[in-house]
Amino acid sequence: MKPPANGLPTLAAPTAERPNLLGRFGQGIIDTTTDVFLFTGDLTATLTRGLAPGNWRRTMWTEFERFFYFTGVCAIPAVMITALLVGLGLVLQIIYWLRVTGQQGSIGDFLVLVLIRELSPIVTALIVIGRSGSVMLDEVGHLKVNGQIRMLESFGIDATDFLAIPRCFASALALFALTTIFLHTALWSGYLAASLAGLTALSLVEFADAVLSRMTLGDHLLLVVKPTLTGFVIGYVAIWHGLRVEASALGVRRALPKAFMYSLLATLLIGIAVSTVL
Amino acid sequence: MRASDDLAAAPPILETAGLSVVSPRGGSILADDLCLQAGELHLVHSPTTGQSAALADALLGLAGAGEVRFLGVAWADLDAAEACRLRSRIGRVMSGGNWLENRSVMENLLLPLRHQTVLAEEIIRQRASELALSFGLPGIPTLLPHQCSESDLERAACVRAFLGRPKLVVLEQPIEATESRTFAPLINAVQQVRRRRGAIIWFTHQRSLLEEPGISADRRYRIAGSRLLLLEAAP
Repeated sequence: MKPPANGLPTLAAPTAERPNLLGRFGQGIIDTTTDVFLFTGDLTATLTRGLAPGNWRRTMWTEFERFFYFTGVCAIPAVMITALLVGLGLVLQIIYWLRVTGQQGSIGDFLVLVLIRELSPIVTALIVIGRSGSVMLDEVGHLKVNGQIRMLESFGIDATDFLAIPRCFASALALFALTTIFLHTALWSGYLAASLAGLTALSLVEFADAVLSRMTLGDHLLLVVKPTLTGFVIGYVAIWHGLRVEASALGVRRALPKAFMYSLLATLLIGIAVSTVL
Repeated sequence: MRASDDLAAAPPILETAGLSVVSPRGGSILADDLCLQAGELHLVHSPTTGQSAALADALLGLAGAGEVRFLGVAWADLDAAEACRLRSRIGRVMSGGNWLENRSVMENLLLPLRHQTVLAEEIIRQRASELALSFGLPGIPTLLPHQCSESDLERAACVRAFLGRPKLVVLEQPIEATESRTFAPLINAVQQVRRRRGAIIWFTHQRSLLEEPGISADRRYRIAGSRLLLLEAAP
């Protein structure tokens, strides 16, 4: 090849061509699929290690208590206020419209289907995602960026054991407890409002019986499985993204919306899957 | 077999073979044939804290390419759990302290031993208190790290590194100057580790410390460009 006539250096030709639209789309699918497999593998490993009682060291119990207090106990007021509004809005509406249509006998069916099976676990999960998931990601992300994960590993402390297991189990237990609180607050506040407004002639015991008699074993199991599983995954999504934060000032800020979306998707998917099975 | 034969047969505390570490400044640092025998102190002059942190990480099997053996075991041969178990026998002062900001200094100090051992809380606290006193602290600091003075954090970092009778102690810029109040107790703690057949590797960015006669190092190194150069070895 001849040198340029003016003797000036020329720009080097790019070594790698930018992939076209189809190439980028394909790469995106490969990356996402890899991430999903990695996430599922890590999640399963964390769950398995956490379920083996011998793996729980006293520092992990301390972390568990701290995060259960933060995610569960501190969230009670927020959950109760939301449940109160849902109770006044939804339960009252159900009682009212069933009375209008003369279907008072179906009150238990409607409440079990809408409030117990679907709404309580999802609304409580949304509160936990917004209130605790983001804080967990922020904390773990900053530990990563500031080199404190490296410090833990230097002292022989496994980051998964110390950070992920206690937080995920605390999140699971907290979501179960909060869902129960949400359910009872919504149910009884709705009944109380309907009674005060003269919309129902049912006594407290009759109302409780109308709901409980419609609940199957699957519904009872669902109330345990759905929030527990969702809570665990919400916790793990936050930790997983936190541990993969880029070492820059924007790293945590970039990871937050991504983790929120994944948590939301996971909540809905788990909800559908558990509702289908149970 | 005599006791001296046992000692001769024991593997070095730490040895490297063809270790190459990526430097934060770009390029890499080659630290081959580093060998710390029981009772030895090696002093390394590192111009930047980033380089010493990268090399220290590699010695602990957290980064780098090449082989690093601790107590005769290569980090590469261990799974994550085994590596964590072995690393619990190493104490480290990290540059900048690296404290968990939302835990008190006391929680930070006790964390490694509380996590790795089943020793009673009182015993761990007592040992930490004794070490804290030996480093000139009135007790274990109970404040959050950002509420403590730099001098207190410097000494607390040393307490954390020496707590639990580690076999190897990695010191990354543990003190700013020999005039520091931490210097004398630190030298004392270093000598105690050497007496019980442990080893120390001490990184410093100060030339004065490298030439300090009060530090009776067995070997003195300098990170120059991309190599770890041996400057002086004790006869």
